[in-house]
Amino acid sequence: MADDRRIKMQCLLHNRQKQRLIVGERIPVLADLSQLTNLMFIAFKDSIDEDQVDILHPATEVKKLFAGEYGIFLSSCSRVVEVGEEIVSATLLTLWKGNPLVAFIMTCPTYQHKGFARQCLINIMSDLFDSGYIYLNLVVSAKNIRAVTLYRSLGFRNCITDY
Amino acid sequence: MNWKETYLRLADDVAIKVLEQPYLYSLSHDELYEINDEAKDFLEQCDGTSLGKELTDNAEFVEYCLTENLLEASDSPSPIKVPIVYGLNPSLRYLELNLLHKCNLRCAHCYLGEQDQKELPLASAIQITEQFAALGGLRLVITGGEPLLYKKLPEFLDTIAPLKLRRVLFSNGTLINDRTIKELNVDEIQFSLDGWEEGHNRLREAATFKKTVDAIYLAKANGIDVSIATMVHSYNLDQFDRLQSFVEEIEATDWGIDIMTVTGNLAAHQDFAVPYETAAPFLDYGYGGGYHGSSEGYACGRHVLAVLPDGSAVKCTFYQDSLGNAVEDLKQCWLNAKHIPLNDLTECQKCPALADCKGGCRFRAKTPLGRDPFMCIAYGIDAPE
Ligand code: SF4
Repeated sequence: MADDRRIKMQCLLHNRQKQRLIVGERIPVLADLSQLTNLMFIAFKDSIDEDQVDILHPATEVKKLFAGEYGIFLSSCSRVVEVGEEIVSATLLTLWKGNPLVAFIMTCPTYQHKGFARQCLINIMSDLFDSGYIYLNLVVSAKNIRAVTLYRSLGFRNCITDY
Repeated sequence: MNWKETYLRLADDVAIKVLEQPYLYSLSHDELYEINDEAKDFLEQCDGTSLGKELTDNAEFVEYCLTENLLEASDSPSPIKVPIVYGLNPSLRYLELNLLHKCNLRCAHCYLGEQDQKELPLASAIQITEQFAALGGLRLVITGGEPLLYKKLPEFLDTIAPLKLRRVLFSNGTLINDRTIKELNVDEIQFSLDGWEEGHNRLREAATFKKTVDAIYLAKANGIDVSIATMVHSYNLDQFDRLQSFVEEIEATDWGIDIMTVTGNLAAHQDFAVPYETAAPFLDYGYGGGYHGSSEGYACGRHVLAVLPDGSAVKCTFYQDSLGNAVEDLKQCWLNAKHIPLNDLTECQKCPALADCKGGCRFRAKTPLGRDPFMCIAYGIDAPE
C-alpha cells in the first residue's frame, strides 16, 4: 500500500554556529520568479514528491508564495544557491500560524547530494534564532526517507502539538 | 464519514508514551510524534466508547491523526484499553538484546571475536523485555550472534508480541527460509549486506550472498519491513551503486552504513580495513538510522542500552563494563548508565559541526572525551593527530 502520510516536523531553534556560506548563496528576490518556476518544475518532476506541488503550474505556485498565499513570504530568511547564472537550489520560508515554515525546498537533480539544502537550512536556522524565532516547522512526505533523515539530523522531530 | 459522528479509538499499533514529554508512537511506521498535554488528555479518552463530537472540537488535529492512521473511526463502539506508559528521564528507548553469541558464520569483521556458548534463558529474555516495555521502550533490537540459532526464538517473539514495542531482528539472513519466516513474528528485519556478491561473500568468508538476498525478498513478501546494514571495507568500494539500486528496489526503511572498528575478528583481518578518508564519502549512501533523534546536548547513547547473553547490561556492545543484571532490575542498570553532555567533550567544543555530529562514536574516539577521528574527516574538520 502506498505510504501517503505527510509528517509534520518541528525543530527547536538554538544557537547553532553558522556554516560557511556556500558560494552563490543569497536571499531570493522578485526577479528570481521565473528561475524559481523552472527550478520547481525540474526538481519535482518525476521525483518522489511530484504530487506535493501543482507540477503543471509551477509559476502559479511560485507567484502564490511571493503573494503570501502560503503565509507571509519570509524572503530575508530564505535562500537560493546560484551556480553561474543559474539558481540550482532554493529553500523558501513563510510565516504560518506565527512560526516560520519551510514552504518549498528544492534542488536541481544534477546538483543533489552536494549538501546545498543542508547548509542553507543550517544558515537559515541560525538567522531565525538570531531574529527571535523559537521553532521552525515543515511538512514532509513520509516516503521521502532521505529528506526525513536530513531533517532529523538537523534536529527536527515529528510533531503534532497544535492541539 | 464525518468523524464527529464516529467512535474514535487509538489505532492498534499506536501507544501513548510519556517520556521526557508526551509522545504518540506508531509501531508499524516507527514514528514518534511529540504531542502536548492537552492532546495526550484527549487521546487517552479515545478508547472507542465515545463519539468524536463528545471528545473534542479540534477538527484539524483529529483529521491529521486519522490520515496518519494514528486514530481509527468506527460506526459502532469498539472499546479498547488505551495503552499509556510513563518512562524515565532520560528515557530508555532502544534496547539491544543479545540472545546468544553463537553464529553460523565466521565473518572477518565480527566484533565478537571468539564465540562462546552463553545464551539468555527464555524466561530472562521475556522478563527483560517486559521491563523494557514498562519503562516506555520503543524499539527492541533482537540480535546475537545469529538470533535464528536461538531455539526458543519463535516462542520468545510470540510472547512479547502484545507489548507495544517495535520488534527488530538483526540477522545475516542465511537461516531464513519458507518455514522459518513464518515463525518470525517481528516488525522489521535488518539484514547485513556487505557488498554486491563478491564483497559480501568475501567479508562473510562464505558464499552466502544469494541466501541473504533471497531472505530479503522473502521477508518483503511476508509483509515484514526490511532494513539494510552495510560495512565499508576494501573489497566492496566499487559495489555501492549496485547496492543502492537494490536498497531502493526493496524500499528498505533504513540503510545504515558503518566503518569497521578494529576489534574482535578484524584484528586478524586488517586487509579489510579502509582508511577513514576513503570510507567517509560512502556514508552519504545511507539514510535513516537517526532513530527518533537523540536528546539535544548529549553524546551518543543517550537512549540506548544493550544486554548481553549473560544478562548483564552494558552501554553498547563495544563496552564490556557491566551496569548490572538486567534480568533482576533493568531500571537500575539504566540509572547506572553515564550520559556524556556535549559540553564535556573538550576537544569538540570549538567545532562548527558539534551540533550535528555530537562527537560521533565514543568508542572510536581515542580518549573518553576526545574527538572521533572518523567523524572529523566525514565533516571536513581537521582531524586530531
Ligand atoms: S567533527 Fe570531530 S571535532 Fe567536530 S564534533 Fe565531531 S568528533 Fe568532535
